[in-house]
Amino acid sequence: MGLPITFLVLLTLGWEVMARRLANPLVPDVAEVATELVDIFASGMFFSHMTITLGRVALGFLVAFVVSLALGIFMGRNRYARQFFEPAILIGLTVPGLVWALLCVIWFGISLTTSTLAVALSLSPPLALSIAQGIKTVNADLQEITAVYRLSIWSRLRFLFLPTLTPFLLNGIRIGLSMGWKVIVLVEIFGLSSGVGYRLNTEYSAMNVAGVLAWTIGFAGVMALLEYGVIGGIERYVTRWRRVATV
Amino acid sequence: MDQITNRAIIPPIDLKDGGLTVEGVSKSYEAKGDTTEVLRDISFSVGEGEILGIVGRSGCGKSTLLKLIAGLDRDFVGRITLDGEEVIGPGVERGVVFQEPRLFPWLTVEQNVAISIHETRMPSGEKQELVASNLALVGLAGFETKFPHQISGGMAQRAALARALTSRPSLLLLDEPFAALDALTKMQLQDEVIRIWQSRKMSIVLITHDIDEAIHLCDRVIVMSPRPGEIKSVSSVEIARPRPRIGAAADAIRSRLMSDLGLF
Ligand SMILES: Nc1ncnc2c1ncn2[C@@H]1O[C@H](COP(=O)(O)OP(=O)(O)O)[C@@H](O)[C@H]1O
Ligand SMILES: [Mg+2]
Repeated sequence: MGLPITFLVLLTLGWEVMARRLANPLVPDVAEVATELVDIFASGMFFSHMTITLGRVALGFLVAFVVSLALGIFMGRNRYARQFFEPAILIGLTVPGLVWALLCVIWFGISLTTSTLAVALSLSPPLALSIAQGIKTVNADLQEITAVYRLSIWSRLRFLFLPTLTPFLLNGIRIGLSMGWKVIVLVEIFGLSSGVGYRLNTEYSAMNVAGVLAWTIGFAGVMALLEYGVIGGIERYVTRWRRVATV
Repeated sequence: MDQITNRAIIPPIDLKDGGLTVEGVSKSYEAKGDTTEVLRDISFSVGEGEILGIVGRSGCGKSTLLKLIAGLDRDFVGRITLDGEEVIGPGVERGVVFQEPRLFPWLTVEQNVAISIHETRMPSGEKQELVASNLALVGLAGFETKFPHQISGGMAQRAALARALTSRPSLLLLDEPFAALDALTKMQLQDEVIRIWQSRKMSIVLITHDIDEAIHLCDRVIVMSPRPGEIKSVSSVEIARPRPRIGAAADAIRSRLMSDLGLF
């Protein structure tokens, strides 16, 4: 806990020193950024736009999760499916999020489809790949048990596949989310009139660098909270059955 | 006086009694154009409430045979019927315990046991009672909420046994269930199986490479010879229960089984 805080304090100090020496309106000092930060929080603006952005990511994420789970399990269990879909995954991994964002805005305009699709498209390839790899680690002995007691496909998913996939899913979710944020901000910059990306674009057009920084800091804070707080918490909960080495 | 009958193939026990019949079962594995014959013309039956032992050297096809009876592999020649109905897949009326406990590491002991009746239609309260009573039956009361890594190997095997018993099977298939346990735990569990069998009266097929275990538990013992797996002999063990672990009767059967296994 101490070291990360030390780093953040040093970063702030370094920024302050730089801002004072440059004395340039394009490099605001810490006080200016802080004022802006307090402003967007106090006015409720940050909260309302952040909620909209989070909602869009969540929707795209949900679509990506369902699609990737089906695709990943299919690819992991069927050699032909894997060979068939492998190029799609590779292309998906290579195409920059920027391109998905642009194409979706062009084709679907200012709509929920755009944000959902752009996020889902950039999230699905790493998630599906991770799941396909995880499926290969499913224990054959336990699979026999699910056959012996005639578990339905849903029960097999719940009792065998999902728990086996958990570390792979969490890993895929981490990578996917870090890409998802970038894409959603781009979509909001290009074509939407709400959300954090839209606000960033507005501040940028007004040449308000302190505003850009304030929104970025707030956004990064929420991301860190999600990553360490929420996903980390889920991880601790779903892996509580694990034996911990005592040496 | 004749404690041991020795026939290569025994006629099926009266079918209307129910029980398991295995008729002319052969099984080969194919890999890269190579065919390995694992089982050849296996025929036997297990009467209702009978304990049948199958002993044989490692690799003679015992687990393969058990998998066929469990319905886990349908690619074989011959016919297997249980209570008059052909076996065409797994079914909860057959409980299976393997050498490894095969518990789901992320489920608690009671959740693991409940797996066997998960697809059974029954009020959840009744399911809970069934799980609890079977856990108590195998001596695991008080360990319901432990995860598998928190219990010993013997307890894990007890949990696997409870899982198999909870679906109230008419046939229990045991594939070297105690082979990985220490001698004391093993004997304890053998006696518990007998106690449970006496109260439930299900049929049991016990696969083992432990001759003493077969003599202690089984009504009849089949000896299998390897490559391909064939029935070498069938012996009845006519020793009254509770059986002493040592004694002249057991010795006679032991030496017979050992010679059938090619050990002297
Ligand atoms: N899935 C499989 N594919 C090919 N050969 C197998 C397979 N399973 C078992 N065998 C072979 O079948 C023979 C019998 O195996 P198994 O039934 O496990 O013997 P046992 O349980 O008596 O030790 C062994 O020679 C083994 O190598
Ligand atoms: Mg075996």
